[in-house]
Amino acid sequence: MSRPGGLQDVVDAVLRSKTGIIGLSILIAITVLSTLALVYVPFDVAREWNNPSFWQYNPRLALPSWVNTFISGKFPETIIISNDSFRKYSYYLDIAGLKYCILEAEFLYPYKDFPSELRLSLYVDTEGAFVTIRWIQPSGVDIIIWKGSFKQGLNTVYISRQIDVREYIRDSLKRLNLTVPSMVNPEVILFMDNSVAHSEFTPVNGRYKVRVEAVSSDPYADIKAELIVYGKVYGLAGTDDKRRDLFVGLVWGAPIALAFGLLAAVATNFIQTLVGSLSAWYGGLIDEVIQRITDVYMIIPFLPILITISVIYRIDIWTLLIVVVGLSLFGGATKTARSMTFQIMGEQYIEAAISYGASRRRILFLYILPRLMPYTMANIVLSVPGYVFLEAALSVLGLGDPMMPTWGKIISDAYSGGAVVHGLWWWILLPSALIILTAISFAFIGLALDKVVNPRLRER
Amino acid sequence: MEDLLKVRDLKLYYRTRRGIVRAVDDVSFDLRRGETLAIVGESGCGKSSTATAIIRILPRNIDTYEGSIILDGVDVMKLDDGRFREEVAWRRISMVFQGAMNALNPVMKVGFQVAEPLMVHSKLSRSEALSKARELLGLVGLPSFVADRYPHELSGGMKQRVVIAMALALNPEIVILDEPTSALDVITQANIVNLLKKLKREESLSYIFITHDLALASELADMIVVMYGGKVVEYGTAEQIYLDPKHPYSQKLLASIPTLRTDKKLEFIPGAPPDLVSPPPGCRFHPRCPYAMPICREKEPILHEVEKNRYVACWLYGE
Amino acid sequence: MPTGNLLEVRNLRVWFPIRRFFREALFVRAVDDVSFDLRRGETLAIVGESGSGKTTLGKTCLKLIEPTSGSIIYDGKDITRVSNKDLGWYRREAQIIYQDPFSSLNPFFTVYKTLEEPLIVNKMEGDRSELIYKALEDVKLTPVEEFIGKYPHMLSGGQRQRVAIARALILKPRFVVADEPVSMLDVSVRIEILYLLKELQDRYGISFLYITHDIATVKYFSDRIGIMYAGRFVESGSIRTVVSDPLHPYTKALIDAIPDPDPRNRFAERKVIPGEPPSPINIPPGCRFHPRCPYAMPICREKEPILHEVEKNRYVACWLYG
Repeated sequence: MSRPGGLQDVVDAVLRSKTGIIGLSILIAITVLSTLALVYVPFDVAREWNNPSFWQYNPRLALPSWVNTFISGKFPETIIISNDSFRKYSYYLDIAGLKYCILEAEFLYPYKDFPSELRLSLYVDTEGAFVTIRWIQPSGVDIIIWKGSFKQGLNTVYISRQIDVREYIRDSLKRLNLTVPSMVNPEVILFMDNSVAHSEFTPVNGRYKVRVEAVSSDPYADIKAELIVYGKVYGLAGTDDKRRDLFVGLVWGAPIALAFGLLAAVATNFIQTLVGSLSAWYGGLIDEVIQRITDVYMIIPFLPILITISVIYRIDIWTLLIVVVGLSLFGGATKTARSMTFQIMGEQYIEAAISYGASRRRILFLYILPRLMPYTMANIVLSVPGYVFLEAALSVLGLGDPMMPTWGKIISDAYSGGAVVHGLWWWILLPSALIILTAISFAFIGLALDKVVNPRLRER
Repeated sequence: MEDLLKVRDLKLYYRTRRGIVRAVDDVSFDLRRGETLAIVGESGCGKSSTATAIIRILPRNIDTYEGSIILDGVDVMKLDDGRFREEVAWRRISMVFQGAMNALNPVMKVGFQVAEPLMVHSKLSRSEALSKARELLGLVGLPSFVADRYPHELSGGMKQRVVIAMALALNPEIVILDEPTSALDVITQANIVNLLKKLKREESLSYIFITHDLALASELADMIVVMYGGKVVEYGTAEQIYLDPKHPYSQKLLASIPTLRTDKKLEFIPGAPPDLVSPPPGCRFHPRCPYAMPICREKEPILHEVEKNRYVACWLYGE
Repeated sequence: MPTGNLLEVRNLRVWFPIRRFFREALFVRAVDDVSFDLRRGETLAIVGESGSGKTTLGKTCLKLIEPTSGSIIYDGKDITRVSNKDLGWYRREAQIIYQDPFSSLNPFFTVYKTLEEPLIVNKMEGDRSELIYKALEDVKLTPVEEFIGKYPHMLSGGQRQRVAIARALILKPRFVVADEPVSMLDVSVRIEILYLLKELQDRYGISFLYITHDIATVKYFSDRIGIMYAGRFVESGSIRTVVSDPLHPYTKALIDAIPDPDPRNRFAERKVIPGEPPSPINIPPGCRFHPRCPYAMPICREKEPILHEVEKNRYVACWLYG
């Protein structure tokens, strides 16, 4: 059975209005996203957010893969050729006392666009080996891209970035009487038809081969290789400059944003309402003191102080929460709760309670505060967006928690990573869209709640 | 005396979470020029809803609103809202709402509040409207300085006079009064009733007077409609109803009035008024009626003429 | 039933100061020198219009309002100056029933909870559930199961008032102030509630202060009556005598103002005194009633008449009676 202005009315109001339903659905979607976080992207994946080696197989600054459905020239995806895909020949030449290891891998490159990066890792299981790396295009052009000795252990050839690789490629092409395009990266040259000079570059599709020839004096020498042809798209949300799958960041940002927003909203509103009600109910000196403190609090510039604190102390997100609540112990809701309490105090059933001996404290907590609950709930819902934005704003300014993958942090990384300058739209837009959606959902729900809360007050 | 207002088969149902409330269920009566018709009944019987149905101030959750309201030969039910508001509302029929004296604007001087309908409907200028407002306040027995007061500075009786003045602003023919004295002390009540009698004479008004107090109704009523559970159960002249009430409910209403004149023990009506969402089957009064017969539980009695111009809806009086 | 006075009020004054910065202090003289006794098991009706101070008087007797001067002696104990925190025992013995059956019940409490609260607060022994059921049966809200889970807005005015009565009686008080308990109910329901109160009084021996402006109802639920005007009693005595033979002109006016269900009423103006009770801030000099009194004499404008005994147990304050 429903009481007037009670939970039933609140739920009804939300469900009956269009804004309420829209808001609620968005919120449910975001909550589903949050639960997806726990299931699809388990915590141990998220924990590696700041661990670069975890993300090494992702391309840098990759677009979301669904972009390919809208664009005709499809962006390449990452091709990983692991050691198992390499065919290995090794033989030992007694006379010379040399062990030869040859690894060869073949892959098909079907894309209309060049890869973003090439990387070859070699694991040399011997004291040292002399290695030649060859790149064989579908047309048969055999380019030496590197020659030299490797020490024992893991050696990585950053084909796209190393200057010596560039030199080797240039020399190879010259010897083959092929044009050497200047100002072009290896990952483009190696996939392009270099027999003629082009003004536009398109990759040649076909089967490519990579050949690693290693010579060592150790008869037990062994070598393992791994080639990564980094694409330009990845996952549902692309990647950032540290190759991190943004989907992980966004998905894990959701519960953090919601938790922060809700906790801050609930704590501040409850405290403010309680304080305001206490102030009115006990009256006199307590009322005066609380009102003056509230006035001071409301004058204090909230954000500048928060920024100052964050600059001086490196704070994590939960400390931030406590500071925010501390700066919001007294506020607008205090004043409103106070005037609402005055109104309720005039009602006869309050005086009746005094007449049958109820203590003042009992009346406050059992009779008055429950009447204020619908208003407090609406306020909580309406203030959540503010706190979500606050956390994001602080992070964007670089003052938030440096470790957590929050939406604000992603935007902050995007700015410092040059997303604006380089047009890396997904890096900024996706987290921004999520923040805005969250804010909208709470605002809509709050709008729907407003109808319950206000007319009720007027009637009584 | 000709019929000024004929209400026929008026229905007002509205939608609530629990179902459809049949607040006014087939109500019919006549009001002749210069007469007072009293609608009496307990709280929740539909009398206030009948009034708001006539002046067309309808709630948002309306489900059914039909019937005819024939004012001087014209069915004003058929007028669209705009025309009704311009031509009928407040001009020909006005209303003093229940508790209106507490709904006066607390931050506006009383003179302005009386002048407002004049400025809106009659397009009078501010000063013209204000002076007419002072006239109206004088008409209801208030001294001129009252116009410059705020509502909280006035007593209950004075506020009620202000509200009556507002209702008379555009010289209506019919004034509907919904419990105009319910919050007032007995002496103030008597004074207001005397005022209403005087105004009726001097301004040639016809009243529809709504109350739960049958004794109070006798101060003004020429005709009486007794309502129960949204329906009319008895309808006749004041003499007929007070001296020879036929419906058991009317009888019980009369018998429950506290009085100092006689010493007889009063009766009361056991039980509670019916739920207008699902009223009792058959006659709505049967659960509380001392004379209930089997047929009362099954078939609803129809309001029919038992003597000349006397109507009852009760199986005790046949078909 | 032991005789003796349950409540003795002497020279009670309740004045509320109005703060004016630049003028001398003004007071709302709500109750201005009132004295009366209330015997065990009897009902004293306090009749007056709004502004007469009757509600303030009732609440002051319960110490919900602090008296300005005078004395209140309950069951031999002087409670005039006792502060609220030492009045826990009194809060069990003395209860109040309010006029507005809706705002006197907490809209968020079911009927059960409404009745349970006084028991919890006062740590009553016994099975609470049983006490609540008994209380509801006493006020004839049966079958009880139908009502205990309902919220106030689901009940009719008469039913709510019964709940309020049940709440007042569940602590088994000896003294109840009924402040206009039926004024906001339909006329047809009033008598039912008043008979109920009378029945409960007879059964439990409770003393009532029945505060009302409707003098027609006092016959059904009072033994003695006091007529209050502008903060003072102007007449008092037993119901029979005051109602059948009113002495004070105000009492007469109150009785004359009561409408009767007589179809001839509409042909004549009701005989009634003009005007309204004075504001408690601005009380007229001399007899407070003289501006409205049809029998006013010169002395009435100058000297205030004192409430004095004219017959046995019959008091009037009027220069017509010396």
